[in-house]
Amino acid sequence: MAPGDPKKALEALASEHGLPILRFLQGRDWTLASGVAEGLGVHTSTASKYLAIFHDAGFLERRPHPAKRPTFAFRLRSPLIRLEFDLGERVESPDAADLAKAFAGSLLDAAHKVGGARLASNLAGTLFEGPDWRRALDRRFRFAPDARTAMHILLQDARKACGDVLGPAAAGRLVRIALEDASEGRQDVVEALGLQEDVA
Amino acid sequence: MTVVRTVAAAIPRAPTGIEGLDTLIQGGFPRHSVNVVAGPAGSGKTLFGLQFAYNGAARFDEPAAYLALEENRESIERVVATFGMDLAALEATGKFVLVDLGAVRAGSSRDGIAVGLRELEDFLRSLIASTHVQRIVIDSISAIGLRYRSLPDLREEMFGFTRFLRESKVTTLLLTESPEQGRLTRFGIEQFLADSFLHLALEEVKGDLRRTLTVRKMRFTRHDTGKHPVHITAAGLVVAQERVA
Repeated sequence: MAPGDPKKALEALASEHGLPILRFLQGRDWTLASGVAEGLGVHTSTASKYLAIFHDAGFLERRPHPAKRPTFAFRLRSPLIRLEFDLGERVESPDAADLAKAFAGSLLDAAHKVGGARLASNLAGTLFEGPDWRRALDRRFRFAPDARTAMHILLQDARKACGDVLGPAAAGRLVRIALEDASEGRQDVVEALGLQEDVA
Repeated sequence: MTVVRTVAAAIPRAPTGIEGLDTLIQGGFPRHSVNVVAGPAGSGKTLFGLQFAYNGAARFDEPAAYLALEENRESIERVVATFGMDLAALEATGKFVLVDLGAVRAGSSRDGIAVGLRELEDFLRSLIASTHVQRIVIDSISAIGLRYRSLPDLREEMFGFTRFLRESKVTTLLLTESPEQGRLTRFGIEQFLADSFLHLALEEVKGDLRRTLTVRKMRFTRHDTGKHPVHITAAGLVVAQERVA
């Protein structure tokens, strides 16, 4: 797992099986997924999935099982779990802010097409506290922890604001259309921000 | 007979404001009812729907929403301007909401081309809550029906959708095209699920096309059952009181 993409590891840690699996491995030597599954009473595929995620996150070492290739055995690297966030990696804030401005412009245009000046104006008011949305976007990106977070929060807020008037399904479509428009020529930024699924 | 007339007259009505029509239907559509207006291309369906919505907002203090699924915003704005309706002023005050749902439909590459009834219900629930409209026109449900693979599926979904509309306390007009020949409505089921069914027709008479309107069904209403000529004037549709054969 790339150091700047800790979402999967966080989700795994937060789930009901995450910490029990790591605790199970504490003090044990090389262990197979089937051993974890048997010890904790979970399905082997569940154990395998979590072990792979924790390995990618750097929590576990793994090696091919000598007798059961290509099966892997796992053990903890250290009893201390450390998850690192690299807030500055991969995407520059100006690129993200540029994408965000293109998205906001497309969204307001699309809102105007769908619901006229009133919807577009209401949306600008809700999302950006007024018509000067470019300045409001700059503020969002300046004060957000990182560009990725700022963009994801913007999309979330846009879906909520549109959804209040159009309902979640139509709002989801509108946001996706605007993001598709904004993504043209900015695929690298879209990928760096992890927005591929929002556009597809 | 007297009792029937008294009960029917006591039902609150949503006047259409279309000249000559309200007198044929005891003053208007029953409020909170679901009504179908069908007709072939060029018969005046869109103008009918726009007048119902616009008059509600401008003359009868009933804010209205017009949902365009096939024509775009510019096209609708041209129609209303042609007939002297000041849409911009009503939109600015929030009394009239014109929604071009086709813009969302056309732009979506993932979900196909058609909006489904559940999605529309979800949309209307939010719209009604945020705008407090009392009249809704959907132009047209023909576009929505294309989403369904079978008539039983569509009928079941339509049944749930019309129930939702009645429970939402709005007076709804569903526009649907009628094929040139054969069935009166696009899918042949719309009229059975609605409280009223008005049919607009285009007939050729001695080389000219004549528009007519017939009120084929209207619950809770002693309505005229004759076929009436319809004229399109500078002020919109006008339903003549005389009947035609």
